[in-house]
Order: sequence, then structure tokens, then C-alpha cells
Amino acid sequence: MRKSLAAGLILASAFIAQPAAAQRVEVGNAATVVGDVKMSNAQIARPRAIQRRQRLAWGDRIDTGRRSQLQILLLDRSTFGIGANSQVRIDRFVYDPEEGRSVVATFFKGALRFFSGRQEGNNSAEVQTPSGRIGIRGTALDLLVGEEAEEIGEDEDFVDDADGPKSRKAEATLVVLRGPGVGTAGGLTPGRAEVEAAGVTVVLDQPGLAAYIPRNGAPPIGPFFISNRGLAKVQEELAPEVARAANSGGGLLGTLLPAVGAVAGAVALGVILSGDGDDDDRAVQTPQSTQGGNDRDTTNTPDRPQGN
Amino acid sequence: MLACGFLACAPSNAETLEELDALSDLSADEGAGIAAARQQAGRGEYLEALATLERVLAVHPESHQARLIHAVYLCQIDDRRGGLVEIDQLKEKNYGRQLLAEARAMCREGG
Repeated sequence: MRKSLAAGLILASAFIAQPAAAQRVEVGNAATVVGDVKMSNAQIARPRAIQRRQRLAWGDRIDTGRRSQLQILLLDRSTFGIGANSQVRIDRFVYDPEEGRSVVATFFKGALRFFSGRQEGNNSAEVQTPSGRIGIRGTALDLLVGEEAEEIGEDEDFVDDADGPKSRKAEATLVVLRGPGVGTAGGLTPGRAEVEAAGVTVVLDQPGLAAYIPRNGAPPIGPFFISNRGLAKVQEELAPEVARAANSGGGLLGTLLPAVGAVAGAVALGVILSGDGDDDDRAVQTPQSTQGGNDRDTTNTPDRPQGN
Repeated sequence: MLACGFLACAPSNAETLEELDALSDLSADEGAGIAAARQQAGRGEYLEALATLERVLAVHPESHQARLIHAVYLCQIDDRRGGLVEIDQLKEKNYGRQLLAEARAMCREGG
């Protein structure tokens, strides 16, 4: 009864209102806000700083600054994780808890990760970029637009072999499907993304498969399995502060305080995953940042997955 | 326990903005956020669990637990390479060789 009511209300407001109309169609919130995050729309021409819990609606455009990050949580619990120096606009979101969800967004630049929410019903998502359109079904997907997409995309052997893609920085788009794969736990719907540009569609249907659109008017290059190095760089763009914490030195404090690796080694992974036992926090926490670079360099295997 | 107290109030099927706020509040706290992610994973909601952990990590980028669990959950949605890339970035001194070896093994088996 409650669900039906919610569905009715959401759908009624969604169909009646238009994005440019005075009435806001609120579809989610800013679940996490880090750093400089601003919102603008048809009514708010000058971007305004937002806080966590800010309601977001049709037509809202979000801009993140340097070292900034945002996660948009939608009513069906789908999320858009937005990295630094990014711009995204929610164009439309319609959700019926019984029937499913449809979301359309425009991603202008930066780094974005989409996780689909509730699995029930018929769900679809579409993201427009400066050079193409990505249709998403039941998935975890990473999307980069701009200079970093160009840098990472062109570093991939498969793209490099495609006879000089002649990228344009502002339009370059890199799409990576992250899952779920057919071997997923939890009975999730295997992910699938259709990357469409210049009348050509490339289907991504396995975790790690990627496509690269070098510029507006060019077809997507792919599918290809992104290299481990490329994956790591995409991750860095999506969560720059996590990467920075991982790579930062602990400073003087870090050199003075002992690490607790030996304790950590004594704790079973299952305990950490399940949360059983009250001591697991101590097991994996150190009092300082991690130090130095990566423990190991990941190797490139551009056209085939590794570690399976 | 505190996290469980929060979780009792957290909806498993958010359909209102207030319920989304409750989910957001949970992940503002490292311990409560990790506990919420575990609970979501326990219901098979791995994508939502990953999203929860990413909210935690946005605020607590040095959370060793959140980073490790995030990597393993990637493996559990069959993004084994993505999970292994993340595990390879974890420092042995923070986790211990045995724990990381266990995580890699679990990941190769699909989480």
C-alpha cells in the first residue's frame, strides 16, 4: 500500500511537471559531498554551493571542483559517484517501485561511476556525453569524459592500434563496465552497456570491457579489456582522495608510529567481511597514513582479462 | 552495536528522500557505514554495498577496512580484475601478508 502510494506520487509528479517548470521534481539527494560542489539549474543561474542531504531534482546541474567529490543517491538507490572537476546534469528520473526506474543524465566532463539500485522491475539508464550515448542496464559502470579519458584511452594498446584515433580533449569518452558479471554473488542481473556514437554501437557485457570514443562524430573503439594500469587510473579519477591517502607518506608521525601489520595478519578475512567480533577495527587500522608507492606495479594486458 | 542501532532505523528499500538521508547519515560515520555495507551485502545488495563504502571512503579515504571490503565486494560482483587491482594497492604493513593473500585467493575464486 505504501509502495503503491509512493509510486503514484512519484510518477504523478514526474509526468505532470517539466524540468524547466517552477515545481521541482526531486529525485534524490547529495549523499556525500566533499570539497567544492555546486549546483545550478534553470532557476539558479549562478552555481550555488551544496551540502550533504541537498535535494536534487530534474534539470539540476552539478559541478565539482578540484579535490572534490559527490555521490548522488536516487530514490531507487541507484547512485552517481562524481569525481573531481566534473559536470553532470540529471535530465529525467522516473521511478515506480513496482515497475522499475528510468534515468537520463548528461555527463559533460570528469569522472562518473554509476551503480544501479533496486533490481526489481524494468530498469534503464542513459547517459549522454559530448561524443556519444551510453545505455545502461543493471550495472556498475565507470565513465570518463575529457582529458583523463583521452590520456587513459589512448594509452590502451587496443585504442593505439586503431590507427590514430585523433582525439579531442573535451569530447573524449571512456566507458568501462565493472559488473556484475555472470559469476556475481547475490543473484544480481549481469551488467550490460551499449556505447553508441556516429551510428555505431559497441556492447559491453563482461566486467573490464571498455569502449573509447575519441571525439564527437567518431564511432566508439572497442570493445576491449582495459589494462590493469588503466583500471587503476580510472579508480584514481573516481576517488582521488583514496588514491592520495594510499600513496601519501605518513610524514614525521608516520615514521615514528609503528604499523600493526602483524596483528592484521592474525585476523581472518571472513571476520572483517562479516563484522563478527568486536576487534576487527583494531586489526586493520593503523594510526597513520600509508607510506610510499604501490606495493606492486600492475601489468598491462590490454585485450584479455587477468586473474580469473 | 551503535551501527546496528542506526541500522534498525535505516530502510532496506529507500523510497523517500528522508530515507535516502538516513542512508547518507549512516555512511558519514566510518563504523556505521561499514556495518551498513555489510548488512546490504548480506542481503545480496552488493552494488548498494559498494556505493555505501564509496560514501564512507569519500569522507574517510584512509579507512583500511573500507578499502579492503570494497575490493572484495568488487570481486563478488565478478569484477575480479578490478578487485585484484585494488588489493594490489593495499599495503602489506597495514593488513598483513596473510590477510592480503586470503583476499586475493577469495577474489580469484569470485569473492
